[in-house]
Amino acid sequence: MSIAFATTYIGLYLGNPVGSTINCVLLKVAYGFIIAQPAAGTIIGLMGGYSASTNITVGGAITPRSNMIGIGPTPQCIAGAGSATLPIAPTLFQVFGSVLTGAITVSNTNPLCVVDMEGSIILPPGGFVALYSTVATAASSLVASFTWEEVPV
Amino acid sequence: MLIQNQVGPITANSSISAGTQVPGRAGQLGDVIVSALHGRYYESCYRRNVFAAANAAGVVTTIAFTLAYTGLIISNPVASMINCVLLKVGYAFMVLQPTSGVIVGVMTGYNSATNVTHTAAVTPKSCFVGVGANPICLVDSSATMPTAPTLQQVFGTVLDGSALTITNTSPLTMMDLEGSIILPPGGYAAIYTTIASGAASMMASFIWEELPL
Repeated sequence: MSIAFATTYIGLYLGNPVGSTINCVLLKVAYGFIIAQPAAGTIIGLMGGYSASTNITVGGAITPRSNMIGIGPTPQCIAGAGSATLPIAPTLFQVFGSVLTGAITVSNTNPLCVVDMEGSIILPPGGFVALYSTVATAASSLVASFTWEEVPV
Repeated sequence: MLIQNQVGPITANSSISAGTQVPGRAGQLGDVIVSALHGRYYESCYRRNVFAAANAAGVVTTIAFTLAYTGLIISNPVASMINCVLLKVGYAFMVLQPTSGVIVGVMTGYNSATNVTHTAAVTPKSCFVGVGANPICLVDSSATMPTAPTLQQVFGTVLDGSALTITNTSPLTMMDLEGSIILPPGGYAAIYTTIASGAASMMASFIWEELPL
């Protein structure tokens, strides 16, 4: 995951395209790291931004899917995990916690890292959110997810 | 007016077509059954009443109830026309803490005549991203409180283990206050730590709702 508010972004992002007919209501955000991190005390959170005219330039697109498994419609929102260009620099909305740097063999605990957003952030067309990290995380280490609802504008 | 509902499912084994008029549903004890159609805060957020603010970089927290404060503080101006309803608080530390057992929580205070003095503002934003209005409440990473606050709620304890390398876990340090603290005009709330945190180590966030008095 890239550092903080860089517009050239790698991580997990979710965008509501300009011109869409829905608002994107965030319900849950989850994240985990599968290898040890390089910098102690990396703070993780959620950042967001908005552009009325320019969409995220998607890299490494992820195919979003309905939670009505197999038979639900295709969502309008877009998501990706590869190198993307955000239309404007985002700002931090919420702090989730911090990641330490120990070996992943030290503990077998699994602290829950699922955040109930409960609809407290809405992305109108042109809005986007992305996982935030104070420093670049170790390569290929982040696995994260968004759950959202799409409601007519 | 007497409102009557129907006990149990409205139809036995099928969904009801959109637009069909049906009775309300009740449980076996006459309890009215409702469901939260959207996310809990959707309606408030859609009405542009929900806001967020967070430190843009790490700060050193001050000790406990010191009036000249650094950390993250939200305040509702004395003359505002809204109540500030706290929904979520998040915090995390980037470096090893200097003392073992630093208790973290949220402290609150109130002064009906004197506002918080804003030293280093943090820009709050609408949670209806990009299109919502600006909030009435003000958020700072450094401010002077008019009256000493008191501890409202404890969140947990930060230890100072031999290093930040003990584990790579990331316990969630975000609290659902769920509207359990309201700041009227003149009220304020701030992240509390029993001692000053490590250098430039803390970042925190508030999500709140603003409602008419």
